[in-house]
Amino acid sequence: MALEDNLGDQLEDTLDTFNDETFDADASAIAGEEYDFYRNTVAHQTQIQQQMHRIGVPVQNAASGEPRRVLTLDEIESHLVPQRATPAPAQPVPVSLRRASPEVVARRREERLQRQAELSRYDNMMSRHDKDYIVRIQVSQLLTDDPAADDFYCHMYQLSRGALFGPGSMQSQASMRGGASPAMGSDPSAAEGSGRATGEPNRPGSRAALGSVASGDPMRAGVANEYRQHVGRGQRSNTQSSMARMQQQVQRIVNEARRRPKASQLALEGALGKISVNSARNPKQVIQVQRGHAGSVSGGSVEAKHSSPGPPHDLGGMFAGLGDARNPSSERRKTLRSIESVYGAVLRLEQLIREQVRLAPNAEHPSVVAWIASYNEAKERVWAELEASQPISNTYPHPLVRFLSFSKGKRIFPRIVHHMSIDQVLALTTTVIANFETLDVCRFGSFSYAAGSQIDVRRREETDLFLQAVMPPALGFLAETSLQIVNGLFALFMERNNIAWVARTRPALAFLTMFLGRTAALKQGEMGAYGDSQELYQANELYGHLFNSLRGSLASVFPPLPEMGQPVSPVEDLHAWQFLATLAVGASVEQQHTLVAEVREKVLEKVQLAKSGHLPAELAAALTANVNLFLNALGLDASQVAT
Amino acid sequence: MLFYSFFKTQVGQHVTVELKNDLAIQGVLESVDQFLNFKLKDIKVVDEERYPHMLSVKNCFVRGSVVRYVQLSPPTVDTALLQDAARREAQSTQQMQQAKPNVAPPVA
Repeated sequence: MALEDNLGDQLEDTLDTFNDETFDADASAIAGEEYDFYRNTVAHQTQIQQQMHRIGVPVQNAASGEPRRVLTLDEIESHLVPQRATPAPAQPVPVSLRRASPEVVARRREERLQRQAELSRYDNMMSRHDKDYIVRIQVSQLLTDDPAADDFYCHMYQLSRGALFGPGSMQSQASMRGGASPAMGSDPSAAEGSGRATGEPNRPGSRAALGSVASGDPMRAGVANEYRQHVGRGQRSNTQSSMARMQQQVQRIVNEARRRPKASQLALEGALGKISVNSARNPKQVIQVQRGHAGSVSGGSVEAKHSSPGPPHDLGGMFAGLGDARNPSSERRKTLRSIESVYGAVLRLEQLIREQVRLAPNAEHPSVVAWIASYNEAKERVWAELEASQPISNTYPHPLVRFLSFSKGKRIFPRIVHHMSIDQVLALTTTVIANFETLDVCRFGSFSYAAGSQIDVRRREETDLFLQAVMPPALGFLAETSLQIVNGLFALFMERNNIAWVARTRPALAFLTMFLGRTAALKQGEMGAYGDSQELYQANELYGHLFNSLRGSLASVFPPLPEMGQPVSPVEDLHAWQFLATLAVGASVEQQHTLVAEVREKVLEKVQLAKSGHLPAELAAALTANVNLFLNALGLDASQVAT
Repeated sequence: MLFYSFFKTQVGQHVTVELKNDLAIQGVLESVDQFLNFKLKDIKVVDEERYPHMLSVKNCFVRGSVVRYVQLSPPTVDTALLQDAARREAQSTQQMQQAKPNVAPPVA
């Protein structure tokens, strides 16, 4: 309508106030504002007619248009008002004035209503039945047989984030993965959490909601929750009835789909081929992946076993310089494969644990028996892959060590331990200790600061990951066992590993600290129980042995100093000071003398650094605290150090 | 269904959707469906000068097939859980591939 009236050409410049609101403004000023340009068009059409009248040009009736003749009078009247007020609108009237006047407001409302009426003239073409039909088709695409599996990520994520308001997310994750969480799937109460995150525009009774939100079963409860949260009080009854209708529909569709599962491929008799029916479940593959490799890999490794030992190759970077009898690249792949099978088994275990709540309470029920069988089978699988029942194996390095040389192996370790029995954890710890030297984190040697080369960064990350993931279960186990076991493991540690060399690594220091600390705690805690028992004697022996092997190299326990200009972080040597502190606790007088003599320089250096004033207050305080760990164990304090 | 599940958790987050025609739109993810079509609200085009026609657009619907990238913020993603979900998905596809495809009965 408005495009062909050429009003711009017909108006004089002073009357052309079309773009006044937006003309000469920059993008940021006008973006986000709502402008009603149509209003101007309408207004000026009548003005032009008047102008034409005055000039004497015959007015084009087409420009005014039939249905608007009714309003024209009002428009003219309302235009006479501003015309009287501003005889020559050389300066455009400010926008606020225009909006404020009541005639303009009324006029605009009428225009809006009229426009709406025109647009709604062809509404309600589809009946409710038609709309239901379309929605049913759409929803049937969304449906799943196993909403638990298909919606796994979303569901678990919401569980873990929802529980964030309670205990920390780590705990809740552990509990959610392995523990009792509500039954998944079509349980509407469980979908409470899912309702929070499934967003949707709040148009009450909107069928569009179904097409674009969430998946089959959790959806109805989820959307119901959304509506309950957002919609106002007045509209509640309206939405609830439409929600109820939608739910019924979904229920009907679900049942129908369950009754008749759709095939993904269609092959008619007498036809020469198959037609594959694409749906959201099996989308058209853009990349075709060959599945033939699985057989060839295992075949390759079997062959390699029988072949003569090859030249020493690089075993996937972690074991550089170490040869292995078999083909090293297939070794690596074999390890990765076993890690993946462990992951699969652990996932099954966790799924079984989640399903445990839904089991029948009767122990003889066949489903319970089946559950127990599959649970044990998965556990056996994991245990077999780890091969921890033989701490000392023929292959070098030990399978468990190879397992842990990958970061994903480290990451799954705590989750494995969660499902293991105490004996199994003991076996795992024993294996780790027995082969400690060969662990990748130990072979990295001494520490290095994060700045600098890529390799350093990666080593650091691996070590950190090891300390975060693998150590805590082992250390936790140690903290709970008897002195006998602690002694045994301590002895094994010292026997199998070169202490002086291994002591420069953080994991080794952590282990040693735990051994000594546990021994001391046990000695103190149960004073009478041990007396001069065998264990106590052995513990003291071990201590002496440790001390002797470390004598002379105690200063090397500390990480190397950073370059000039790099920040000194107190976290770096915390473990070293902790180790020295526990060492000092059990030391005899002359042993203490030796300790002090060797570590003296380090202590002085740190204290001086802290007191020098170059560092910010917290850093200096942290440094002093670290040194105090050690000094307090000796009965001294940092303030006593003469600088 | 992994990606669908993943994007459901991103609903309500700020994302930047880069399309195959190089248009990049920042906005809050409002909803997503099984075809990974996105609805974004309060959008802002990344490179404003090249796309002046988008200046007044507040909400948009993007067809999934035209999306090239979706840029997310890292804290909203739980990578360990994502790995688990991906492994489960891989396991289930393996199982599906190993199972025989269904043959429909002949049309009478």
